[in-house]
Amino acid sequence: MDMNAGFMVTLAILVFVVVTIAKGVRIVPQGEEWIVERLGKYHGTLKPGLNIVIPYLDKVAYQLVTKDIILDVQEQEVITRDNAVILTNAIAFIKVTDPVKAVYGVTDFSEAIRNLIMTTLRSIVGEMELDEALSSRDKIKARLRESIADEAVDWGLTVKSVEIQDIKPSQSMQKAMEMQAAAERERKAVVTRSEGAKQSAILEAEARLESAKRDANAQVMLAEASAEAIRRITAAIGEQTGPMSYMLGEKYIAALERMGEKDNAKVIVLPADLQEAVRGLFGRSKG
Amino acid sequence: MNPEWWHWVVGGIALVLAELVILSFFVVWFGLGALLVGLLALAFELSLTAQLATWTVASLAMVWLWFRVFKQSFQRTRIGTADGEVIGEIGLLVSAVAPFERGKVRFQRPVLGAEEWVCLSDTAIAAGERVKVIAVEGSFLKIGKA
Repeated sequence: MDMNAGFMVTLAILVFVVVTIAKGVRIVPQGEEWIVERLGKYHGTLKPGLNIVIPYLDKVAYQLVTKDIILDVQEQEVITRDNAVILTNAIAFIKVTDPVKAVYGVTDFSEAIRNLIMTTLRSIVGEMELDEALSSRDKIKARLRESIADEAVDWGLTVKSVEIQDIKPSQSMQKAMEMQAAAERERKAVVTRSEGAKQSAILEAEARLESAKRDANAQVMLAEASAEAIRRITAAIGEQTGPMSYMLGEKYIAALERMGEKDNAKVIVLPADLQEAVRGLFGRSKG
Repeated sequence: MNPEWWHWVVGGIALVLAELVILSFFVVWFGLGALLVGLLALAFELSLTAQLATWTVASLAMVWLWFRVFKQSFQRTRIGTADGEVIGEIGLLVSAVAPFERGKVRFQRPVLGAEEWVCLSDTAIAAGERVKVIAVEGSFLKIGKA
């Protein structure tokens, strides 16, 4: 009986020792740190490696990753100063540098810093023109880091870097930009076409002007040639009317002859005195 | 009724092997304790209570010894820890720092993703001095004279 009691106590002690050690030994992997609370209050931080805690007093309340955390900041619509809507998303790399502040300073530091980055990004881009926002990522990055510095201290976090992944106009904005580009091209096409029409009208008018000038010249030259011919004939004839009357009479008769050959005019009245008729034709110049 | 000595030896080896699966680093000491009890049981006649008590005491002693030997401060690398590997990093102060005035410190190679950091200090340090990182506080570094 006595033997049995001793055995039971020994067994109980053994179980107690095993359970206590099992609960007391804590192996923290590299890249993590654990927060220990003693009776509800912060007691200490377990570093990577083998640690012992007192099982009945201490409790591992939080297990924190102290490696760099990749934080995806989701895509959001941002309105620029010139009222253009752009879509932007970012990626941030943060690191817990003070586990106690990260755990007790804010309920969920990842969510908190993500929301902070989102709102800060919106306010920074909101102060920029569309073209400026699209072209100055580095500036946005620097300002973003600066703006969230104060909160980062409170939450025991270090924002290692914030990268703007995408920054692009929204669907409707993209459509409008495309339409603008298309309209610009169309405008150029119309202008080019009317330039051509104008050019051709001018050329045509110039051609008409040129041809008119030449026509006028030709008429003048023709008139001068006629005048010269008449002058020469007058010089050649001199005072004699005989040869002239002969030439005229000959042509007169030839004309009558051609008239007679035609089918439609068969009645021809010939003057009786041909010589006098020719003279009559000529009379005025003889004057 | 009394376990034979070889029960302890086999049980001990099983416990040592169990350590490979459990990875909590205390089962192995109980396994070694069991092996020890097995050897004692082979040499002497021991009651079950004595065997259990020896096992408990031996295992506890080994756990305690292990923690005495094991040095928590020994660390091969500080990468991935909260303080990180930056504590103790030497930089050059490019703009003076005073207790209520922030300065700027520059490092030869980037520290935590940046070459230049805004820094704080408890003492006034003139620009151009070599300084050492004491702590990381969010986007600021706390520095001291190197």
